[in-house]
This record gives sequence, C-alpha cells and structure tokens, in this order.
Amino acid sequence: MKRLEQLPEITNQALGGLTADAAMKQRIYETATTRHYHMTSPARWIPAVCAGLVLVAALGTGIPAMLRNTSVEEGKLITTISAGDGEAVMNENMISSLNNNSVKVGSQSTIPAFRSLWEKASSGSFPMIGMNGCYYRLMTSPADVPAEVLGERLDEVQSFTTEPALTNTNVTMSNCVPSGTSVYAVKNMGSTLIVARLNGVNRLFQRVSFNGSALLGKETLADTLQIGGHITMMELSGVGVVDDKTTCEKLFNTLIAYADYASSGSISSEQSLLIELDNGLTVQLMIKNDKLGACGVWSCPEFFEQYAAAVR
Amino acid sequence: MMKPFKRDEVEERDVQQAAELPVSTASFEELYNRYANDVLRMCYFYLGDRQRAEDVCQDVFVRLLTNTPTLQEGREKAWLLKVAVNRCRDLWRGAWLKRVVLGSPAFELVPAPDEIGELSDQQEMMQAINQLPAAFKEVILLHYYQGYGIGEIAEMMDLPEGTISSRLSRGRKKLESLLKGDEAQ
Repeated sequence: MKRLEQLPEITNQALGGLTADAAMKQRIYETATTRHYHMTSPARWIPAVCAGLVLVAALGTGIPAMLRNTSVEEGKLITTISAGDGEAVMNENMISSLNNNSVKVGSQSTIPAFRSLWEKASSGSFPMIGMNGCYYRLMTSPADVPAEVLGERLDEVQSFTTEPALTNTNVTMSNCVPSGTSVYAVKNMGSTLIVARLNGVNRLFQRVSFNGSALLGKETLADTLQIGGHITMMELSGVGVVDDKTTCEKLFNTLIAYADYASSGSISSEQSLLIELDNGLTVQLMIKNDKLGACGVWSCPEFFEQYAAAVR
Repeated sequence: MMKPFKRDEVEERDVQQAAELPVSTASFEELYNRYANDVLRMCYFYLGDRQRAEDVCQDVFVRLLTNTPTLQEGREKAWLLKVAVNRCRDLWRGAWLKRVVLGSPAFELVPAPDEIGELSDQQEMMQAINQLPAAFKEVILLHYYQGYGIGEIAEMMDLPEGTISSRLSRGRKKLESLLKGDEAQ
C-alpha cells in the first residue's frame, strides 16, 4: 500500500496546522506546579491519613457487627409476597426449577468442554435483577454464596415483574426474586456481582447487558468486570485451563487494556470463559471468535492470542 | 512464553517522590519543542477530537514534569508516545468516546494555511486510519507515521513482536478494505 509509506508527509501536510503552542506549555507548567503542590504538601495528606486510620479502626470494630445485623434472614423473602398475588406463584415455580450446581473451574480436563453458568430462562427473559441502570443475571454456581463474601446491603427488590424489558431500573426490580428481598454487594467486586436470597439460599447474579443496555456513562470493561487482583484460574472451553495466578492476572490485564467495545448486545455461543476468583466465586463471559460478551460485547484478539500461548 | 503486559509503568511510579519538579526546565523545554507537535498529532490522529488530543498531550508533558520518569537518552520520544498511546487507549476503549466521537462527522484535517485545498487524497487515507480498531491503529501510527520498527513497538507496548507483526498485517488488510469501501467500520 504505497500511500501508507507516505504517511509522515501526508500527516504533516494534513495536520500541519495542529501545533502544541506556548499557551499549552504554560498550562502544562501550571498544572504540574499545582499537581506537585498537591502531591508534596503534608498539610494536605496528613489529615487524610489520620482520618483513614480512624475509619479503619471504626470499620474494624463495626463491620462484624454490621454483618451480623444485616445477614440475610432465612425464609424472609417468601413471606413478603402478597397473598393471592399471581406473580408469587410464578416465582415459586421458578425458584423450584433452579439448578444449584457448583462449578470448580479447570477441575475436569485439560481441554475443557463448554460449560455455561447462566441460569436458563424459564420464560421470555433470563432470571435477573435490575438495579440502578444495571442488569444482573442469575448464575447456577455456587449453590449457596457463603455469607462471608457478602458486602454491604445495596437495596431490596421493590418490583417483581414478568416483563423486565418494559420496566426501567429506577426501582430495583426482578423477574425471579420476590419483592422485599435484600440485595447485597459482593466484597471487592464492585458492580460485577450481587447476591440475593432465593429459595432459602444466597444466589449469585453477574452483571450483563440486557435489552440493549450495557454500559453506563463513561464505563469501560474494567468497570463492569472489577475482578482484577482476585483471579485464581481461567477456563476457556475448547482451549484449556490457566491455573497460574500471575499468568491469569496478566491475561486479564491484556483483556482490560485491549478490549474494544463492539456493542451493547450479548453473545450466544457454545464457548465460555470461566474465571475463578479467590473468594470461591466464578464469573463467566461468553465467547464467539475473538469477541467476549457479558456486559456488552468486546473484541480482543490479543487476549485469545496470549491465552493460547499461555496454555501452550 | 507470553510476555507480560505492563500498563504504563511510569504512570504508577511513585508520584509521591516529586519533591521538586524532577525534569529540569531546560530539558523539558527541549523535549517539548522537539516532540510536542508529534505527540499532539499522534493523539489527534488516534482520537479524532482536537480538544481531547490537547488534553492528552498536556497530560503527557505534565507527567514528564511530575512523575520522575527514567528516560534513556535517545528514547525520550518513545516514552512520550508510549504514555500518549496509553492515555488515548484509555479514552478510546471507553464507550463514551465511541458513542460521541464515532457518531460525529468524519475526521477533520487541520492543515497549515498554505496546504489548504490540496488534501482530498490525504483525507481519505487519514479517515480510514482513524476508523481502524484501536489495536491496529496504534501499530499503524507508530510504524508508518512515527517510523518505529516492530521490535521498538513491541518494547514500547510490552507485547511480543509476533503480536505487533500480526497487528500490522491485519491492520493493513483492514485499511485496504476500508479504502476500497468494502466495509463501513
């Protein structure tokens, strides 16, 4: 491609009017001086450190008590459904149909077959919770999320609906978890995972795209998949298992750095990437060619190249 | 074996160390005068948005002043471009830029006054490059625009040389098809 070889001349002609001028240099000096002041002024950071120490001390004594007080209560959700509510009947049916298998990543074979951790849809939409503009899909594993990984209580399901596509998430809604059920964060997982009580056990929900809605505002993959630093194993069906933590983190860093946002849709395929975390939970991304899907579809050939190299 | 990917190692490095502006004013002035235009144009080429390109360029040189980078002699420009590309990638991979910028009119040229009127061919080529996926665009720009070799780009981006070669090849093919109008990115 001859013209490509002429790119420097072409660019210098075409962008010759774009110059870094003295005004920009002045702004750089001003910003650097301000940043330098903020970084080195002890008067700025000493109070912050002191406040942090106080906060750590307070949390150290307060968190266990808070956890005890806010732990999910057995049977609470069923009793909150109004008597005679048709949705409750549907909900109980769905609860009884749930598959509570647990998955151990990479435990079966060197080249694993396809396994999906998504709970299947029993009606039009997959079982989910919608909250603050985000959608979370019910997973089959683990059978019961241990109470010790639960984070803060985020909200409670305010609306039970069989038509989630028609319901916005201004109110926390679900098509499988009854109204009144508390929704909890998972410690250190940001907005990637949540937990809600279902059929007497804590069930895991992973953030996904739904109905053309994936990212919020300026979010990136790193925002919807906040698992960095916690990965213990990866399993890419048909390719292999990576069980070295350091390699897993490098692969994840590559994914986060190079994944290119393709769409707000989802991927339907028979290949998945299962990522086991140090809290015992496993997240899943669906795979098709060089694309990955969970909360939106992302293209990242670099990740697959490096994954294949790591397996070899 | 897989080569580790390190994201902008300089940016994470001990910003607290900056007891005083570590790069001398004279050095900074020299580097700014020699490379700021290249950094700015590279950012603009990458992002297609003048204001954001200026923001990134400014941020790169602020980091030069405040982050105590270890610059090897003769590799100063590579450091500046590496930080710039990382910053651009951070912005680009965010959905916001794609929604806002990719939805906007085509990549605009900013020619010097005496070049106006002679740029239709250039515009087509530059628009096509601007439309490439980020991973391809980075290597195309670093190789064909900034003149770095595959080994240098691999070092700059902490990726294996094979990956860079593959991206260059795929980027060229993609570019060719964009220029032929085979696909709309």
